[in-house]
Amino acid sequence: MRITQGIIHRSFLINLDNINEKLNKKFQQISSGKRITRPSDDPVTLSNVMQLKDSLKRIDQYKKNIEDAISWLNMTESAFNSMENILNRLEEIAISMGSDNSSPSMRKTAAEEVARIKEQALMIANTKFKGRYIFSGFLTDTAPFTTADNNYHGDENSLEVEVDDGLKISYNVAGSLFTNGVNIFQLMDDLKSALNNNDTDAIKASIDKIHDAYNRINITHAGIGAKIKTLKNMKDELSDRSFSFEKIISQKEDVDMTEAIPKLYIYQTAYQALLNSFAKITSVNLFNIIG
Amino acid sequence: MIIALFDIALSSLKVAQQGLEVSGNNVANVETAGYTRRTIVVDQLPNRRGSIVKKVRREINPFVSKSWQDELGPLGYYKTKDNILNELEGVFNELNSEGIKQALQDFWDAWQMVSNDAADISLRASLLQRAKALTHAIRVKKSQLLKTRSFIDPEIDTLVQHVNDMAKRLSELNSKIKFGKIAKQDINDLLDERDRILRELSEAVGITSVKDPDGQVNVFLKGQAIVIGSQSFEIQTQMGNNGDIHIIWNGSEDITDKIIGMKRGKLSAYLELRDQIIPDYINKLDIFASQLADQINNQHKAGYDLYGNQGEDFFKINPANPAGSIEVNLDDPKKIAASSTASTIPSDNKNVLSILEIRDKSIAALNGMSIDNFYNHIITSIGDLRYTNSNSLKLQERIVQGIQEHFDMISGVNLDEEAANVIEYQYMYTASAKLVSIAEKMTEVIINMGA
Repeated sequence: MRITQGIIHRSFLINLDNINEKLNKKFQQISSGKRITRPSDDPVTLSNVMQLKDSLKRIDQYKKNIEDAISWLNMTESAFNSMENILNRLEEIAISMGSDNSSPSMRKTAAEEVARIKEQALMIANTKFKGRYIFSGFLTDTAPFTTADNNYHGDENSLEVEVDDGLKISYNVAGSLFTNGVNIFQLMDDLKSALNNNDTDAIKASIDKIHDAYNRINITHAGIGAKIKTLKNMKDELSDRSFSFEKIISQKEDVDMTEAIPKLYIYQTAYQALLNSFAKITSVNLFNIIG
Repeated sequence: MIIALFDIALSSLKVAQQGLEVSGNNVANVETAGYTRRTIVVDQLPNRRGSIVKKVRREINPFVSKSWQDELGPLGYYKTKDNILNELEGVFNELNSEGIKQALQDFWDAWQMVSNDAADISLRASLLQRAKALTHAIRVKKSQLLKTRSFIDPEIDTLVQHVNDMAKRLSELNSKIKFGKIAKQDINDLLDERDRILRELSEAVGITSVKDPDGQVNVFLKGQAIVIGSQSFEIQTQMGNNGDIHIIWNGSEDITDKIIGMKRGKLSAYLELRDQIIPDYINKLDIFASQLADQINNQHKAGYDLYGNQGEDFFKINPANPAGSIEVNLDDPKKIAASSTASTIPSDNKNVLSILEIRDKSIAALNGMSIDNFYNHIITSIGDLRYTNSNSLKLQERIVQGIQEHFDMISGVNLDEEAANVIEYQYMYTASAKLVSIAEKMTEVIINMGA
């Protein structure tokens, strides 16, 4: 093969270009920490990574949604705790005031306590979370109960939130729980009248109703506890999932420095060697010798 | 007899001088691209009268030269396409920067937050902010695409001008070469220049060329003659109805689409990007914007706002220019229709949950993809396009490099060879000069014989 100065020169330039491109790419990767810095670097992997990142972002949002729902449920749970305490106290009053040992004046005093208990019960049933009545269904700006009547003013709708792709859970309890079956506010009014009227039969009769109301609330209460537990598990599961997604994304798009940095040195050495050898080759030709 | 010695010495002095001249010229052009090295063809003069340089030969293999010229067509195409795809990819490169993708995710997240508390005005206000950021990102992207496209026409204009200049120069060279040949002049420089222009034309517009028997080269652009012998035909640029430049041949025929189909030459790449690839992405972005607006608007109008009124359009859009015009239609956060009925405000979030379902919905107008995936697809398809093209470019570069090396093997200047030639001609010159001096001495002897 007949080699000319032009061939040597051009092949030097082409190789220089190649090495420069490789050096630049490696440098970009190392400085950004990412293997893919442009879509054309690896379109197939990129498509995969983008979908994983979308999922990751959604998982973050689902976790936020779950946290919000859990806060709401915690509020509901503590309202139920208070309501159960109140009903326990009410039962004690009914039992002790229903016995023959209690005097009419004691019953009058107890009637006053029942009136106060009803105020408390109304307060609990009108619990707000972040400015919203938690027992009103969708009508969260309407107080579910008032002193004017013992009726429920909210609706039966469930508040739902997305906690995973296509999975929604409801997290509110309608205040009708306090009025359906046994209306606990009416029950309190009735007990108060019976105490005032010294009507032991009516007082005794209220014990079962209090029990009923307590049980109804207690069953729902247990359901809430279970739901909180489920949601916490779901959140843990989402965290695990997002951790494994992050790992996959990192494997796909991050630069393996233990491989990249030695490569960078190799390219640098090649670059140096190319410059040196070109200088050596081009300094020799017959003209130099015949001088 | 002695007189003949003078003739012989003189002829070989001339040959040595010419040889030195040619070698010197070769050395001077060792780095000149496309220069073909010259050698002298020496012949003997009849009746032992010495030697003569019959001609100065261009060392060239016409087949290699022609295939170099031909392979530059695809090279110009891939290279130019790569340049503009690089810009286009930059427009959609959202890997490390904010863009539509980020804004879109923020937008959906904001709906999620409203679904958590539909009564909260600040969450609603933040949704409107996010929606505005999203529409802004879409409008910016559209204007970037239009800008990238608008950079192409000036390039086309300059290129066409250059092509016409080259065609004109070729026609001049053709006639000079034709007459030079007849007049037996040295036309090597003209041939070099013509080859150089043909290569440049091939890279610019992917021409085909045919040599005719009297040495002239005829040049065609997709079957249309642009140089025939000593005549050149201009291609013109003409403003089309939409303000784009069209390529007109011979004053009447629009050959724009023909050139796009060639996939040879820079012009073909410019036109393909301007008329096909970039419009395709503009169209995709428009469909994306209009589907986003339509889908959200339809569901939004099915709901009720905090005033108990039926929802209005969430996005405002001009159907003639969806991505360039998309805006948020609502200003009042209370007008976000989160509720499914008029009587279940404020915390009814059912309509928000329905809007969130759009996110995973497969939409026919988006080729069955969801809104998110469609946008992801836009990004990866540009990556794909450039990836494929840059592979073709690398391959074509290697082909051209190989041919160029082959060309250089035959036509390139080797300094060692030239140095050897120089020494040889130098000795030839010295020896011939010696011959003159010997002849002179001999003549002196003869003249002095009589004295």
